[in-house]
Amino acid sequence: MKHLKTILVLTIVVVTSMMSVFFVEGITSPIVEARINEQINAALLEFFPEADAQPTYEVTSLFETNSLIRNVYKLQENGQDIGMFYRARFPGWIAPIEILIGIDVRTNEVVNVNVLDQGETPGIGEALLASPAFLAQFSRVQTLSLQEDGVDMPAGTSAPLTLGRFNRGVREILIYHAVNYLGEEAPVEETPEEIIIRLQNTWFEGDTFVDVEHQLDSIETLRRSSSGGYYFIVRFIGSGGETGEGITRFIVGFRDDVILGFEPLVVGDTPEYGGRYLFNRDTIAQFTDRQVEEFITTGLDAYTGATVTRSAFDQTMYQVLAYYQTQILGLEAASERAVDQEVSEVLSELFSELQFRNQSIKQGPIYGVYFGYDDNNSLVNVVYHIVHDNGGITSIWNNFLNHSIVEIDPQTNAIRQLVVFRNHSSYTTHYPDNDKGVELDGVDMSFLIGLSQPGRVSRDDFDVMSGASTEPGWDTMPALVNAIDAVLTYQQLHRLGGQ
Amino acid sequence: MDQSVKLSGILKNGIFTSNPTFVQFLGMCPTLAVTNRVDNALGMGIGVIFVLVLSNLAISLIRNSVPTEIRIPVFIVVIAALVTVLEMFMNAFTPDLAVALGTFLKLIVVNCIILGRAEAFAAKNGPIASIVDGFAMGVGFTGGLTLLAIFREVFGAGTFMGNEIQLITNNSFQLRLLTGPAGAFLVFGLIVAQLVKYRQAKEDREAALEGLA
Repeated sequence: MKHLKTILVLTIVVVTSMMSVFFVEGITSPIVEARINEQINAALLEFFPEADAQPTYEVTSLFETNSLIRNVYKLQENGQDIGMFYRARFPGWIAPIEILIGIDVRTNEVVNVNVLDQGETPGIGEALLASPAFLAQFSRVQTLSLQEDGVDMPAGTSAPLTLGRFNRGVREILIYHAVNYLGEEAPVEETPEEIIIRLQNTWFEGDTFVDVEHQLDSIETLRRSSSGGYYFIVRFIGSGGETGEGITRFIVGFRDDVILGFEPLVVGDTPEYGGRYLFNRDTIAQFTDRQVEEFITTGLDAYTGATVTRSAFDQTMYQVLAYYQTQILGLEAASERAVDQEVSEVLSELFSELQFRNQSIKQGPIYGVYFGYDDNNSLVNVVYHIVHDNGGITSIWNNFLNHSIVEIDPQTNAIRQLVVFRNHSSYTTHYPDNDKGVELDGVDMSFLIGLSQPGRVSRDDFDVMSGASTEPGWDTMPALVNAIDAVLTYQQLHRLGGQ
Repeated sequence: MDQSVKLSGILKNGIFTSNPTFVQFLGMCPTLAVTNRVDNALGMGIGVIFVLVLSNLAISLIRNSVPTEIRIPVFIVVIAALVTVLEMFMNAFTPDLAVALGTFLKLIVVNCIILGRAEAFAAKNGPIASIVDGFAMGVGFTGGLTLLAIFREVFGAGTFMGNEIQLITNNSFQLRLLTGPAGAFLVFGLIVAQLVKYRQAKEDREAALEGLA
């Protein structure tokens, strides 16, 4: 009897509450719907300014709607379709996001995106979706580009989870458009095993494979093909993202000194954010048919804001390339050879009348010392090759360190000049609004001339002129100061070429 | 006469003596989150008043019929339904405010003030007193939010309800820190400190008067 009362009370309360909610929804939903329709009409005109003279049809009934697509509109001109619009609702990070997306079917471009409704975290996801810079990324962009690559977070916003959901939602809408309007086949996701078999056939057609022993923890599988090619299956841990696993696996193939290609197999990072860095078509294309050595020297151009994933991926890929080069090809590490060659070129350019002899000195930032002799075989200068941190993100790749030469007068042990010949301290690619480090090339270093004692250069000397930061993590100038001091200290102790 | 005295006591208690924001420290999450603008604070406050009054009324009406062991689930269902209704109304009539309040609007469901008053007051008192209690606590909460928001918006952003105050912005009186979460804690702490100081002084004065008597 007691239980009966409990059940009865709960039932009455729940039913009454539900009825109240339904009743209020009946009152408010037409108002909300009317407002959204107004927004849609305004957006249609905004997307296609010529639309005020053109009829726009709602053609939802002609399409198969689902939980994603709510309404479909068509804009025609002289009986020809010029625009398609999809009103869609997909999960955000906190609450569903409802958008209107317009596609110019003549050019296959997304014209614009209008956020109709969202409930993301105020100041985070909400700020991202309200950012004009974020929405501007959807203006006149090829549908395939958006579908494959998505968009990034603009400077000043930080909402990777909302961004991930948004990219996923847009991707699904564009796939819906491709399948239901253009009549294309829906993309089928390959399994990792299918990707491996496909790439085996593409890279090493008709070959058989044997496993090769290796000593690198990150390599899961290393196989040699019967025609002499190799492929690696590699794993690394990125940021983890939504999956909680964070383990990403990829395959990379080689033949001789050429990278045949790269593809991700399993992405353990946020699929539309950190993961997208790996799935980015531009990134994948950058690996195809590249010289290993050239790739190590140049690195990747593509970049997203997914710094944790990128860092882990860069480190792992660099290890794999270096491993292939040194352990499989049996070569000296490309980075060392490349920089030695570059130093020779710089010395020839700066001191064309001198002949240089190299002394292999590696101590701290000192990477080598060169003695310059004139035609009379008299020592003219001592040139130190120094390597210094560029600070920030790009130092993940060892070969992205900065390199300079410091010319020393062997009679006075004083600096004659400093030339930065490899400068990676440019963050403008990654942070357009942050110019820290970019001025390294243009810093007036004349105050160094004549300096022979260490400890006389302060970070401020450079900072004032360059604007580069001395904050931890932004180490461009402190690293350069330390390297100069190391040179002067070494020269004072050893008096190379002089008294 | 007794009834009106009792109701005025409930009113005073909710707004001043047991102010949920500055005395009980309840509902801190929205208090710190939405007080970057006065209109957001007022909107959240009015929403909480709406839910508090109606939930107190509903719970007071059914209090004798609800078995003790299921009272909390029942309270939650009632409160959740009211918050959903509130959200629907806001989405329909004040969409900008609904967007500005975002998640915190939904989180009214778990606001300690509402469940606290349901359990501590409405479940033990009649409908009239419960309505007054809900209203008083809601007004107290709204007052707390608004006071905090005035300091933060005026001196942090240099605006009042979104309108620029040129006296502030032209003379660089702004403290941008106040618009962020750290600023919210700072202002909150300063207000609480002043209230504690005032209360202490009042108690000392009363004690001195008693001593004289």
